[in-house]
Amino acid sequence: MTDNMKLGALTGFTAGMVNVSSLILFFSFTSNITGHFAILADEISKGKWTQILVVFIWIFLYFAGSFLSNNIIINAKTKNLFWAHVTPLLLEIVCFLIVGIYGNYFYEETLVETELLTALLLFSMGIQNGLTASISNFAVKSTHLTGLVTDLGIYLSMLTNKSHRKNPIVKEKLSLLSIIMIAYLSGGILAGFVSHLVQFDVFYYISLMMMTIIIWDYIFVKQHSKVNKIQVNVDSEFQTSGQLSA
Amino acid sequence: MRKYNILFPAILVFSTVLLSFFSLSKIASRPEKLLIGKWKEVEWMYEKSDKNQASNKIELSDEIKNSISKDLVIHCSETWEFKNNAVLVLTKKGEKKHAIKWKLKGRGHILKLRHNDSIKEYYQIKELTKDRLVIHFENDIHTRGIVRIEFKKIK
Repeated sequence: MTDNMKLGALTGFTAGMVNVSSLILFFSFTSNITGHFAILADEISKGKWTQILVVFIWIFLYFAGSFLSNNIIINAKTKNLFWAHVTPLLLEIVCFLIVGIYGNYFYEETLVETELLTALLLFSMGIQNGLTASISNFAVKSTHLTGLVTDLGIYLSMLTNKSHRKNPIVKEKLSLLSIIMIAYLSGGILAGFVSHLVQFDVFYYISLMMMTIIIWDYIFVKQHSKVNKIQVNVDSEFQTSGQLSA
Repeated sequence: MRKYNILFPAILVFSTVLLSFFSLSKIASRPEKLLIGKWKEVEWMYEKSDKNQASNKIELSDEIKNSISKDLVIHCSETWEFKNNAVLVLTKKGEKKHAIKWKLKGRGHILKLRHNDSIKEYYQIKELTKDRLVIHFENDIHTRGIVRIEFKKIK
């Protein structure tokens, strides 16, 4: 399994869980915004200004999450790669914990509370999508499946052509897309069962899963820095011996 | 050159969003505010159904209406009174009043009704203005389809 596959599987699973949990608890999707754009257009045509503003803020927060995530990565990765990846994940965990704690102890099911908690989850999903897209060089987008299913259709159609069938890039891409889709669906199904029983506690479980991603990222970065160190040592030794023999 | 700092724009964005939400909840005609008051059922009909494809909208007779709603918390109601304290009082001529809890979900498009903390029902709000309310719910007792209830505000 490549790093992108592991990343796609873990983040796809959590995105599926978040989306289904928010659908059960708040009656709103939070991992994708295509539907919100359709709702925004519909509300504009009806002239419902309150709803227009609410949906616009939701879409904006998803955008803001993605912006913030990539901003942190591109500005911090030269100083510390691990923290550049982990900071957006920690922000996401903070969002989940706020939703979980607020939902368990303070939520009175008012509409403003529902809209704010939905907004927070959309922000967290924006962070996650920005992060995964950024660190995988735009190969992994795990919070929505429209583009993924389109790509899956394209890559599967490529298999009908003999010349593409042996192409390892096509095969790898197909595996990656399938893994994300299965992970997202599995996360959604699990949340469908669990959210009815544990309600807002589901966000604690999602936070725990995100911690797994942080630990995996820590191991991944550590391994890579070790490999890079060995490579640098080999290169410098090679250069030194070259200079000596010259 | 001055060092770029993300903290200030981030705080600014969040304060703007929070301020918008709270000012919105105070000044705008929020769905929960529009809902408060007394509503009278005007008509029940099938919005979409498998039967009678020539016309999508079929008005429901009292008999079918009673049979569809017999297991729902909204059974035996002609007038719905949404109160500020999240209580909905359902009344029908000659029958005793029935009080249940109401909440709005989503972006104000889902009406959640709760009875005795155990029965929960969800209705989709299709239209809500200061004098008109239209709600939908799915049904498959008589015909598979969407039932539409229209209300007129009386108080």
